[in-house]
Amino acid sequence: MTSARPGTALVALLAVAILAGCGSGSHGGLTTPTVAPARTFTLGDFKPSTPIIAGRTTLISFTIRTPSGAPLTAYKSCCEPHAGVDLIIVRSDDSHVQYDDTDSGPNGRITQPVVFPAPGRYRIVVDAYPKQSGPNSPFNFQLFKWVTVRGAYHPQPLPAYRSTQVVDGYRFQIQGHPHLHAIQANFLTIHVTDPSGHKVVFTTWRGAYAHAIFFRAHSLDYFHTHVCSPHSRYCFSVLGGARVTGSSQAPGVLKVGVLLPAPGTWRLFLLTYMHGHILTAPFTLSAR
Amino acid sequence: MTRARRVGVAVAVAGVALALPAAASAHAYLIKTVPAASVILNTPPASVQLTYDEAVEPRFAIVSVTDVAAHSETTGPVTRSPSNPDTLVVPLKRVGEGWYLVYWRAISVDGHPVQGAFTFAVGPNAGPAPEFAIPHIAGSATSTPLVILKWLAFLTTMAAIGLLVLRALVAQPLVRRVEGTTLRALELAFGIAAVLGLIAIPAYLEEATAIDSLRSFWSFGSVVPLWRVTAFGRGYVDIEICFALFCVAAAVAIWTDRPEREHRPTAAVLALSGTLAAAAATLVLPGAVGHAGQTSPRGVAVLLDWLHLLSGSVWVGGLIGLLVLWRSLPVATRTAGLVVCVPRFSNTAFVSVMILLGTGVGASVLHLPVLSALWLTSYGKVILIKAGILLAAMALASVNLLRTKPGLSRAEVGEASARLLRRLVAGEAVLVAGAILAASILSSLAPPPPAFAEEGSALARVGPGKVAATVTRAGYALQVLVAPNKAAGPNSFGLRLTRGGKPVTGANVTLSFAMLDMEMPTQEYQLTETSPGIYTRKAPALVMVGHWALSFSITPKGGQPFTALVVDRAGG
Repeated sequence: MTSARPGTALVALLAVAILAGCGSGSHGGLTTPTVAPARTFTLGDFKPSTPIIAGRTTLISFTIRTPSGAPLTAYKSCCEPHAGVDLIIVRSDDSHVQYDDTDSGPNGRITQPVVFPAPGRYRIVVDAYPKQSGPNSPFNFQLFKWVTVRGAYHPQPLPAYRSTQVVDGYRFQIQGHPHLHAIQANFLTIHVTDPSGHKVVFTTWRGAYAHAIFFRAHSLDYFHTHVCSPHSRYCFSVLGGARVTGSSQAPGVLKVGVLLPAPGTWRLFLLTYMHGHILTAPFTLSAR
Repeated sequence: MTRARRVGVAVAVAGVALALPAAASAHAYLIKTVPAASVILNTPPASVQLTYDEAVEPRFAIVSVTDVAAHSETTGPVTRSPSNPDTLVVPLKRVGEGWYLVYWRAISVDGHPVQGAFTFAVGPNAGPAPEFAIPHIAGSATSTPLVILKWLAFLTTMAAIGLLVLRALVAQPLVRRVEGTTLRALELAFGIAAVLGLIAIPAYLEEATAIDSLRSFWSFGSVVPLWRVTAFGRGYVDIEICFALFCVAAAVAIWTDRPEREHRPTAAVLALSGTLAAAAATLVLPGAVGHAGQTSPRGVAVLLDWLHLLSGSVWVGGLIGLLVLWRSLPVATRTAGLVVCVPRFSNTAFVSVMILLGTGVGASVLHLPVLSALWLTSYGKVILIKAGILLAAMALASVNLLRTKPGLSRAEVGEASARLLRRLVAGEAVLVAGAILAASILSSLAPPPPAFAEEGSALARVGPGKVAATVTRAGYALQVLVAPNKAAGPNSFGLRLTRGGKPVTGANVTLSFAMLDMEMPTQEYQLTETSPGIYTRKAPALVMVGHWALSFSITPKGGQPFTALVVDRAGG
């Protein structure tokens, strides 16, 4: 064997080693994987895209897009109050709330005329109840959108807790002083009398005697529950894996189930339907 | 203590050592996460913490936390928790409301990468759970460059050891019996193999470490310090040290040997003893740090692996040595020289091949949970390929043994037999080198986990994608429902149980999950009857993409319990 052959073999091995080493790329640091954006429900083609003017009717419109990108067109219709799409608008200082039940067009486009009362930022909550296509499709979900109404924003301070609120002569009174705790089911008993002092006989509106809509101060975290007749099948609200149900078993008394997700100051907007009018009774509550 | 008693004690100690179970499981697995998988938190977490069953190395770990738009939410590198060495921590930005995907990849102490993903949400109004695309870094233990380097490391190391054995124990009498011959060419061949081995072992370790830590081969400054971080890396550093000692001892043994003398000098005997001990130590380490070291009973598995490598070394090194001798011996003395060496090598090679065969079968029995794994898994298929190559090499070896070897001694056919020998030995050497390549691939693949044994009794193979498959068992019809059948998120699992077309109510149904592609702990969930005869549960059980054994344990009300197994493939 000549001395040239071992040298050739050594060079060949080094060449293989070099080529082998090239396989791992030429970057110097730890490579993190490329993560693609997730597919999820989104608010598509939200309008208006132009500035909103306070006091004028503004047409809010959007499409709920499914994870596949197709518009969501099928909603629950069987089980009020858990049906369709609810549109809830709250001002950032918790001074105003507006609750609308919407209909979607055949192409899934949802359109709703809204009047924003004053300049400021508003959080729009789209609470959707899609028709369930399988065991893993969501029961409901919320999508959120912030909009700004043009003009100087003058936030109103959050009022302190008052057990009684009078709206259009109707008196809403929380029984006792509530001691609410986050992530725990609590109940508020609220007595309602009409302007003449009689106990109110409640009317079902959007599947419930009353809608209790909660927004946390500053963060505007959202929670929505219902008060229904004792025989209502679908009257509950879900937080995580827990359910809470409110009921009214006697005229003039609402037992509101509360399951607040976080401690802090919360604003409760209690919506009831009285003789063709929606009454909104606002309370300031504290949860520990 | 008498000699017999000493031998008895030694045998007993060896028996206990051989029966020792594997010290560690095959791979690291995740046992706890903070935040928990699929949880909705009300306050954003400051960090993500992952606790494994062993202390994985943070410098090799990736923990990516991304929002639905795939924006990274981490603010610093992965570190080890000061309070728990098994926990990795990655700090986060102050994340807002929404869903987040945590993808993690870590290197087990045995050197194998493991990975997984889970989601969590920050609420209270996190929105609907999105469909995350789970990233996956392909298992790189079988990448071509790595396998080539591993093959080179094994081939050169085994060839060097085999050449030394041939030089020192088989061909040594040649110089005395055939005048004018030397062993210089064999010594040179040994030297080349040794140098190549000393280069190939660290080159393989560098490439393996670079791949595991997702760095470049050429980032020596950052990769070399990581060599000794895993047990695998430490093992290969030890192999390099042992092999270097072997090379030094072998050089001394060759230098002190006087083959022209009838008896070896004492110095040569001592040097040769040290050389063989170093060779034995070098060859025991790959098994100890590889699959054999993690297979129960550990002692038996490592012993089988060691004998396998030892016999393979003697064979491949001897074949290369014979070719070198054939080329280096002068034509006039070639046949005479081969007459001295070939019969001695044939006897050694025969024993080696028998050991190789026996230990190979033994190791397969230990590594394969069921016989069907031989043709159903990549690991088993490579064993079959390796066995096929070895059988072909043995066929050539048998021709040499039965025809060429006797022919060398006969004057009329001696020359022709020598030529035939060269061709057959060359073919045999190529085949054995091919078998070593197959072994390099084999040792880079994870053996099938014990749960694979369950796969044979599966009533159906389902997935990827949504599952609604009906199987029958013990007179019952079972419709298995899995949706969306995607890893790293909550899936809903259901069983529609009917008998004679009527729903079976009031049954007790539990569902256990066993990962089939790698060793992981089994999870078990109780299913709730949500409507008559339909038992469901939502669970984040499919933590990885791959094959899962879904085993339903069903106890009908007033009926005999039975189980039904379905193999599901979860997608990403």
